[in-house]
Amino acid sequence: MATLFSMNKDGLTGSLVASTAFFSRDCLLMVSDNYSKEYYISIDAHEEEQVRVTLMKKDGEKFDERVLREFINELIDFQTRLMLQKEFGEIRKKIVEYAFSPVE
Amino acid sequence: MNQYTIFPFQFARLSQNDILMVNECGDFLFLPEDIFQLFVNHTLPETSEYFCKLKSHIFCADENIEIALQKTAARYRTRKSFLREFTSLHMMVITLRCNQHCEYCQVSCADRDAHKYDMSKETAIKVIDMIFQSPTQRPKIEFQGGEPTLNWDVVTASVLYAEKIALQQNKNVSFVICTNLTGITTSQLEFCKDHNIAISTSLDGERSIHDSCRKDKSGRGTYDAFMEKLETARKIVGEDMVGALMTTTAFSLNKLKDVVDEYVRLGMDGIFIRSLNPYGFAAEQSATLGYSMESFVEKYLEVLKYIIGLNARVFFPEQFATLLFSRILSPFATGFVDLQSPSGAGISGAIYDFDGSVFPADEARMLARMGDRHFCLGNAATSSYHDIFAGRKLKEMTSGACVETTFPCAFCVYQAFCGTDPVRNYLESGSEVRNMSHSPFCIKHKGILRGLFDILRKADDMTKDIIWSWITYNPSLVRRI
Repeated sequence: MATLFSMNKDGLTGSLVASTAFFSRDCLLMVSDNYSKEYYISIDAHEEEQVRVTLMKKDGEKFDERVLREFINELIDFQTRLMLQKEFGEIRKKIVEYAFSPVE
Repeated sequence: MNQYTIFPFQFARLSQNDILMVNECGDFLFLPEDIFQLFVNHTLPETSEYFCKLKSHIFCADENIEIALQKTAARYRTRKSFLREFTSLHMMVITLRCNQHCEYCQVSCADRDAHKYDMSKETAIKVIDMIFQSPTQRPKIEFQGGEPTLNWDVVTASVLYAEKIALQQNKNVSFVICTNLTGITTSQLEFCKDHNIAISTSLDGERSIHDSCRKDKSGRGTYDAFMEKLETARKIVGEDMVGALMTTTAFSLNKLKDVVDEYVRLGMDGIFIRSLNPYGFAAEQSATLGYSMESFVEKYLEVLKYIIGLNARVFFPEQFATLLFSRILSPFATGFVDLQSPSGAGISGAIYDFDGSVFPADEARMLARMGDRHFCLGNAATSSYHDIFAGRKLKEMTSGACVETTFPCAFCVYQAFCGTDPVRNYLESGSEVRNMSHSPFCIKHKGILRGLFDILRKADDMTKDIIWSWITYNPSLVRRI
């Protein structure tokens, strides 16, 4: 199972379990960074090939479960970006190289 | 799996089912979610209409990658062609003295009689010699202060000397003087007319808004004095040679429509809705003058829609939106020192302080006034052009100031239209390169660009005509009521 959402009983924190087979370390850190202004975030090892990401609002307000769903969507988008980056990285290098070469 | 090659692009979700894609040369497309998934998974049929669109905008290539590469590289080169005009904007701080004491001034103005803060003629000549060593064919010299008209002899000497050197080197020099106008004399205005010096002044809005911040040394508002001199300046120098800039403060944030109305009433040729910079007095008075960048973005987009509506009656561009729309809709480079990648600090613009010290940006000079000379590149009197503009300091600063290589900008869908500001980064975080997430700079530009794409996505023909009339500065593109 790729993800699993859970809300803490006090309603202040929410957690999700993400598979590291799908989401890389860079992806998890970069998406967490997006949320770090409003949330305290911790990432802990869960079961094999899984991590648990826990978010808590900095202002102490109740946690909205939709944030977890958005978080997962952002993980998917970011992992796509990283995969695409690998795919077209060499092409990008060539574009820049060609662009700044002397005109023949 | 289809055999097409995906070319570099960034993407973001703008709504539930719409994905905005922007490629390396700034071409953009909106794609439905399902088509996007097919595309990135290499399963989009090459016969589909969307594939043709993606291919024609060079988001992918099927067989001949080399041709697509050459096309993209040519467009990339065009977008970065501002680099060829290496340092064309040169700002000279003629004096730090000022006859006003504006609440948000970022230059720490000196008293009217503090002549030790005047640039000397000798320093001015050395600065101009340095300016003309820049490879640009079209140097623009901007006289700043303080209030530069208070050290008028140095302004005139600088203009006459620069004109002489321009003639010798066959260069096309242009001049701008940044003045609050309130103390300018008829003879000074006549000199401006005779030497084609454009006037850039400041008008924050109607009387109550303008007078909230723009005050004389005794704390009185300057609106009346400004209006009187504005009329004289327009008569002598010409309406098209007098432009005004506004600064948004907490006093005007909720009254931006009134500010626009005042500009339209005065027959200004457009407006640049500018946010407050966190320097000088503005930083000291942030509690009374400041606001969150989120609220600025909200109010900016609100007033931009109002301005677009006004353009159904009168040609009146908002200049920041014009700049960004040009980047989004045209393949050409648009010079704007504050929003470039690599950053324009030093390589597109430089500022020479009254004592000859050279800084990559006005904000860097401001930091020096606050006691931190981190960005000082040298002195026009004692350093060579090579030391300053090809020196280690500027090279290091510029190589780090590229959105293409900074997190999270490297993954941002607006990367092709945005830029970075190492001076502001340093001021806010202590480092020239920083994580831009949540920074006011990022909140502002991301928010505005998202708003502009939203306008483009929903634009009717009239709105599209208005936007193109701004980009091309051609009022006749719009059939007005």
